Amino acid sequence: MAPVMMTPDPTPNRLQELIDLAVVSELSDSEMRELEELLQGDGAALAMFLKCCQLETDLHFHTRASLSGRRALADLLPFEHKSVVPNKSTSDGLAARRSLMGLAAALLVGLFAWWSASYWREIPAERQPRPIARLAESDNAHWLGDDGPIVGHEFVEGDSVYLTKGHARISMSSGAEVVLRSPCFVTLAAADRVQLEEGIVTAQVAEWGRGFTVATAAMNVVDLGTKFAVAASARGVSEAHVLDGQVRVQPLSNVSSSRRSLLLSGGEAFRVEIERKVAIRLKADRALYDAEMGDNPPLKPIVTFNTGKGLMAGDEDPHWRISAGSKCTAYDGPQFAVVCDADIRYLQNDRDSSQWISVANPVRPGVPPGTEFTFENTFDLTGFDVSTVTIAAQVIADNGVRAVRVNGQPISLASWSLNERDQYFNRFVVVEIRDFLQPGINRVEFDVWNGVDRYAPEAPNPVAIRVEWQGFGRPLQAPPNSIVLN
Amino acid sequence: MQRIVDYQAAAPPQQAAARTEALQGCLQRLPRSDRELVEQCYGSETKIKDIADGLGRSAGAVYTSLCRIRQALLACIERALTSEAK
Repeated sequence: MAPVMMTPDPTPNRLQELIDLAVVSELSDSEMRELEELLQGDGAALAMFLKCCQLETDLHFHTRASLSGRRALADLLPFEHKSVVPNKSTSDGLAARRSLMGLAAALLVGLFAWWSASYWREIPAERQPRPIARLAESDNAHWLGDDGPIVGHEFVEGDSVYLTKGHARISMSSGAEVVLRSPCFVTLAAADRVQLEEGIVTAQVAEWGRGFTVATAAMNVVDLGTKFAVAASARGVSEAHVLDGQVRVQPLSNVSSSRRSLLLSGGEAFRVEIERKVAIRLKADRALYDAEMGDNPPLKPIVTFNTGKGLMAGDEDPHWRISAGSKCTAYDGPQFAVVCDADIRYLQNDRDSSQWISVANPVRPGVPPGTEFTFENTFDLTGFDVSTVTIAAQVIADNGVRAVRVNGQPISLASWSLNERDQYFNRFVVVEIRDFLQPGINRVEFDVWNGVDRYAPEAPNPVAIRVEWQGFGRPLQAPPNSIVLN
Repeated sequence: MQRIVDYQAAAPPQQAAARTEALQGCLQRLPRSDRELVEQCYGSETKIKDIADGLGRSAGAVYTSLCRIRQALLACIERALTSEAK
């Protein structure tokens, strides 16, 4: 507990003593009369008694709501009534006090219902759409809409495009190269998934992108290391043609099929007609569906380290260091960051994606207000063409990020801080890194600012950060074999 | 006592809401042992004496702890409400 919290307001000792006895139903008749006299003669005393009664009622509600979880209001009402009735009766005066407590409880019940609902509501994550693809090439391409993408445009998850004329090639960050032939309407659902509404797409998938899926209204076509094409019409006809390698075709449930999925190899095709409920094998039409995939190597994900990923609370995160900060009880100099349990106002940890890290676990009592700590992480771009790299961090920080440096150079950043009372920390802010990247190891530093606890401005309070990376680029092409003349 | 009821009835609802929010924040700032004691004493029908027995303490000591915790909470809530009003 912060020292300031332990300093009670000055209250006359006898009055406080009587109030303490009253709230635990330990007042004798004479003490009850004494309390009533004190209250009748002093407005401040009356206010204090009221606050104590309110607190007592509040504590009953809070604690029981905490222990019983999402209790419905219908359950909460009778429960509260029970909780404010003392266990034993000692006098008529106590009965009057019980009535008061009951009234206070009734007045506050709606408020507590609202409060307990908000207290127990899981804090939802607010993530920003992640970049997942890049327009690599276009040939006489016309797009629906005024501002069609130009070569180099980066698509984020969920983007839809309608190619009305020409061809276009999109590089997916998972390692798939996808050629669209007009008219073609696709949604880039995720790095490894394209939803084909209408048209023809041809995909070539790198080894590291295995599992890439093209979905239509009739089937999912899952790559198993291959080059394949998928066609879909607005009339519900879909075809998958395997040009090389293998795919797994999963007809959707609205199509008659005896199998949940089937394997197609090079030269094979599969056709599904939703209306007629027909699913048949065909021979692949290479002449119609093959496409030129360009000379550039496919994009490849960069190995990055989200904070706390896969670790347990209390573990040091070997990929994240706190390289600088204000020395205090919790921080004595450079150290590994520690995975911490999510504080009550934090987005819950997710071991599979990212977790909060701080100077210590638990995150409270924390570090002095108005201080700054530098969290440092690295990633390796060895083997990547740095000029093709896209890397972005989604960041939540308590209380904010003041600066980000890449290899020691500050990048352009709209710094932020969140320091309201009862502030939630659940919204990821995107930090795009475009400058100062270099081949090999790259170091990124986040200066995390710790604000003020609005309840105890002088007391230490938590500092923590949570980062989820998204990065991809094109691998360097191997130089042509040199010819050695003897 | 009627004056107390009148006082309560006159309190604006916003004030009660602010107080509730303040309590929520202040409880989180209690040391874990105090928070656990609050949960034990306010979260069930168990008598203080039984709770004290379970903790290996006297009932008087538990009552004293609760008084201290309540005063700390009151002070914290007061500060929070004052801070908000500024």
